[in-house]
Amino acid sequence: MTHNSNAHDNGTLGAELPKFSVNVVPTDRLRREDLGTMLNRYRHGEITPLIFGDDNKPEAAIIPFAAFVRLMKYDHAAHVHAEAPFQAELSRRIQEPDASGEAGMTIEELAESLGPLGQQWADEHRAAQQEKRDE
Amino acid sequence: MSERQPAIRLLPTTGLKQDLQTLHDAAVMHPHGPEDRLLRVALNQMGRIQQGAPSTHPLEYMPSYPDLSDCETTYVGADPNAKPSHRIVWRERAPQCPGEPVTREIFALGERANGQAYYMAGQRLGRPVGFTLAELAAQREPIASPSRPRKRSISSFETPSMSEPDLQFE
Repeated sequence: MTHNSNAHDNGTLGAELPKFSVNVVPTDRLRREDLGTMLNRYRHGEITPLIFGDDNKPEAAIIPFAAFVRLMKYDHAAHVHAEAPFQAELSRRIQEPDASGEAGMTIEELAESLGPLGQQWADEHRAAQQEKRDE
Repeated sequence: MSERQPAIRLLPTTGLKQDLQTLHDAAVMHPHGPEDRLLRVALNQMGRIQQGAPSTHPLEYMPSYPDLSDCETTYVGADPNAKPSHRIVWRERAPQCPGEPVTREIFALGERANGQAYYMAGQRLGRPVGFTLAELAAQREPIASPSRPRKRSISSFETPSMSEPDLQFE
């Protein structure tokens, strides 16, 4: 289903429509026969929408189904366009989370980066490793 | 760099560095206290992880936790006479190119109590509780709700033929 939000219009070429006026049919004057008439017109290639609502406010529109599908396509394309970077980032995080820009380091380097106790541990660890290698 | 190039590339994540820094700073405040001992034991264990030591055990998926089934856990504790109080959560990744070393990423050093270490690791991995890795990966695909029987499915948003009589709407 399409939606009423125009959030994805930002930056979309041609998204801003020029001003236009519409004839609003009051809801209580809409008859069942009008629907048949509109359908017949659409079958003959007309595309003019039937716009109706209360208090002279355009609240709903009857449009050719092909036009509705075109609107859905537009919304879908905008959705996919907006989602692509998000999904790429999500995918990257699932595959390689928390690894952005982080280089590998040895445990001694990691310990030294902490402060004096870490440096002390690193010195002791290096000495113990050296001793092991010398044996 | 004075160390020999290890066969395993250790990748301490930002979160792990924070865990260690917090522990280190507490240890500085209490020399020879439990934090000091835990810091040394944890660094020793991470040194072993870097040298290729196996974990205490691999993790499995549990619905009340984030899915860490691709991770391992290593037990650590300051008191050798008590059950290990902390967990190191890490994961091994195969090299992406031939000749590169295996990478071991360490995500968290946290308390065992209440599964804190595992929730922290899950959060850092961006994994919500109760979703399997397969489900999270599937969220990358568009979600389609199954069509109800009376609903006409319009594949690929193509405009239907005007002559088809069976379109129904709800």
